Amino acid sequence: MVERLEWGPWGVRALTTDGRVYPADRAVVALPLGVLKAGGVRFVPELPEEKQQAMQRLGLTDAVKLFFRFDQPVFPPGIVELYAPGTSLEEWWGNPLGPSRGIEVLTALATGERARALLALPEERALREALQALRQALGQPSLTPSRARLVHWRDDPYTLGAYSMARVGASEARRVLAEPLGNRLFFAGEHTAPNAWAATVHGAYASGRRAAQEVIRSTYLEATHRPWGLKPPQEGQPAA
Amino acid sequence: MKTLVIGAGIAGLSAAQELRKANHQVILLEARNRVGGRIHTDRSFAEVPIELGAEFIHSSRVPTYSLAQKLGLRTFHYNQRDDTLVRLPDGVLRTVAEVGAQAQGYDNVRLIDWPEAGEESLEAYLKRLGDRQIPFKLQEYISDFDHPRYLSAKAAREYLCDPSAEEGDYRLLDGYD
Repeated sequence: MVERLEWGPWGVRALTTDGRVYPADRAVVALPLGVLKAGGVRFVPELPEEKQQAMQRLGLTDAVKLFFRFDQPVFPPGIVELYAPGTSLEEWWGNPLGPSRGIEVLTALATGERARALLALPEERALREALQALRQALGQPSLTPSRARLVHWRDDPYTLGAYSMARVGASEARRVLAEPLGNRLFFAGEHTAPNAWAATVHGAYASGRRAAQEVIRSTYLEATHRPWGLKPPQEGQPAA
Repeated sequence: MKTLVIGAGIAGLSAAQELRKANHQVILLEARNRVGGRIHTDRSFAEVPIELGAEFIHSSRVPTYSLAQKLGLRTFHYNQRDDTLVRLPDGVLRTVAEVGAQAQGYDNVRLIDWPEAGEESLEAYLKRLGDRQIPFKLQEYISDFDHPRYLSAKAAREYLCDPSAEEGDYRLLDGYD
């Protein structure tokens, strides 16, 4: 695991917990927001104040996924999703392959207050409450799964959170976090995507390509020794 | 040119791929013993795969949809109209399409002309908008994050104005891995 990232006009150097050192010209930081927020990597020199503030301002969603496997189809034919606003578990969906195999695998997503409440319970009880919510939503009081599982990303040391969330006052945070630094550090990840695409796989995927293009452009500009070669490219200048 | 890519989630992987295409030397560092990060398919739970992390491709208008097409991966479309049940306050179950037929705009975010938003909460923004039924896609956005009192109205509006908010979701039938 990278614990220290040194950067400067000379290049970059990553130091890992197992004592290895990786020198390079540039780095794309594609770490989860949770790890960055928790200071899991020490930047030397530190990231500028503006970036640190954006990092703190941008929230992390508390999210829990609950999975249930039933020995028979549960949703009515042709139905693959159930939305129960205002109840204790609002979003449910099925795997469309389930019914064709005579089973049903349903997934629920809980966020915010509901996720925090579920995470405060012993896992077995959280699953029981979720099942109760499904029974109620569908009006099927005897519905019983053959398997159940609860998953969340909050305590995973390599993630430390599910996905980014634009809290009030954080509408610019993702844009700030996406900005390259000193032609050395470049940033990718779902939390660096535009608000419309953030917190998704497509947002993360596009952010990686964007960061790579920034690296490619910056090396081209540096190699051609143009006067702006050591500065971030300005708008209106020809792209490499 | 040598570039370090730290983290082998989808963002790091796509960065590394793009850099390799441009003939950069890439060192990809990952702390786990697997790639994918918050994409993690599990095949032990049931006969069909479950996604422990990210799951959906949010509309056909996003690059992961084109990528799945290019790679020939099987997708399933959740149209979120007649295949999605909504539980109404009285407990009755109706499809999004049925609710939409009654509450105009429920199944179409474009029927509302979303006014500009300031640095305000989504809750305050919706209050300004008046007492109307909010579209399914916005309800889903709220359910995906947190209570509207915590959410940035500006950021939510940017999502609502994006083409990816106009359709249902897809999933990779055989899993992300």
